[in-house]
Amino acid sequence: MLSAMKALKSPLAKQLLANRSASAQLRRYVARTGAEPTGALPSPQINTLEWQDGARTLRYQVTRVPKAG
Amino acid sequence: MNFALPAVVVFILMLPGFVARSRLKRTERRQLDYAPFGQIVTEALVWACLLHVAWLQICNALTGRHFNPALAVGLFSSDAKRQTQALDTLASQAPDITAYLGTLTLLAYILPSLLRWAITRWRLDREGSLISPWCRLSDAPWYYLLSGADFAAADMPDIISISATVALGSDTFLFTGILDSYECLPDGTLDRLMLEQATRQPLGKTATATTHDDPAPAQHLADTQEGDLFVLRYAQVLTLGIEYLKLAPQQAPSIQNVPG
Repeated sequence: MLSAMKALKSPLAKQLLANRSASAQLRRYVARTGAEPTGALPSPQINTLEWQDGARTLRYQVTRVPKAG
Repeated sequence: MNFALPAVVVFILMLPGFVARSRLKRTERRQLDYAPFGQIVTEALVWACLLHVAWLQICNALTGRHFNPALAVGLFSSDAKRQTQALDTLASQAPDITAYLGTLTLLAYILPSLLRWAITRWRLDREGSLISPWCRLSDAPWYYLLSGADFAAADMPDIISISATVALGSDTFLFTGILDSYECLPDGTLDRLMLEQATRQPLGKTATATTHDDPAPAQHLADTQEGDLFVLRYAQVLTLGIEYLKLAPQQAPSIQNVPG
């Protein structure tokens, strides 16, 4: 029997992933940062995600956090 | 009917120890080591001893009744007469002994569960915590890596991005995505990763046409994997990259006011 574990995902991240536009931007960002060490794709210049939540424009900057410990 | 009474007694006495250990430990390895002096049995034995001593003291304070070691020794005796006497005494106190063992097993379930909850809630087991050596569980390396349990609350990332190279036929592909969940096999090895917003990029076909200013060709190279989740088998992964990402709010360029 396998043991399934939920990975780290904050409420803000869940909100972001629920938005089609924001999740597409995040997908592109992750695809580029993931490919960076391999040299397949250049590193992302834009690391800001922006999307509409009703009348509001939400803007978040994505930053890398070093591993703890 | 013949049955090994001492073995049954040992099992009943040890049961709270196994219950307590399983509730406290967060482990990815679930194949138990049943060797007589293996780690699991030893830990369970220590837990059982501690719980019995503590519960006997509490019961003594509450009811005024004392534990009779001679009765316990009599149950293990090879002398049939002595064992029968011990059994008769046990039978005459059956409701009390059942209540003792029942409440102890319940305590062995609840107390370590609360302890585990408190350790997780206040992140007492994260690397760098003062009491981490006593609270940290060495059997769950993937948990500490993929759940963010090693981060202090203030430094907590929002999301984990995964990049993995996978060989498919003669080609090697780079899969990227946001980690949703993961599963481990009973022996503790990682079995699969569930990714959201997954993309696949062929390695080797480097994006010579891509530039920082023109992301379009790069987007063509990275195929979006359709579906809510993309399941990546760890056995097929050649290399695995893990990145912790934090989302910091920025001032929006303009706030649109919608009338009404």
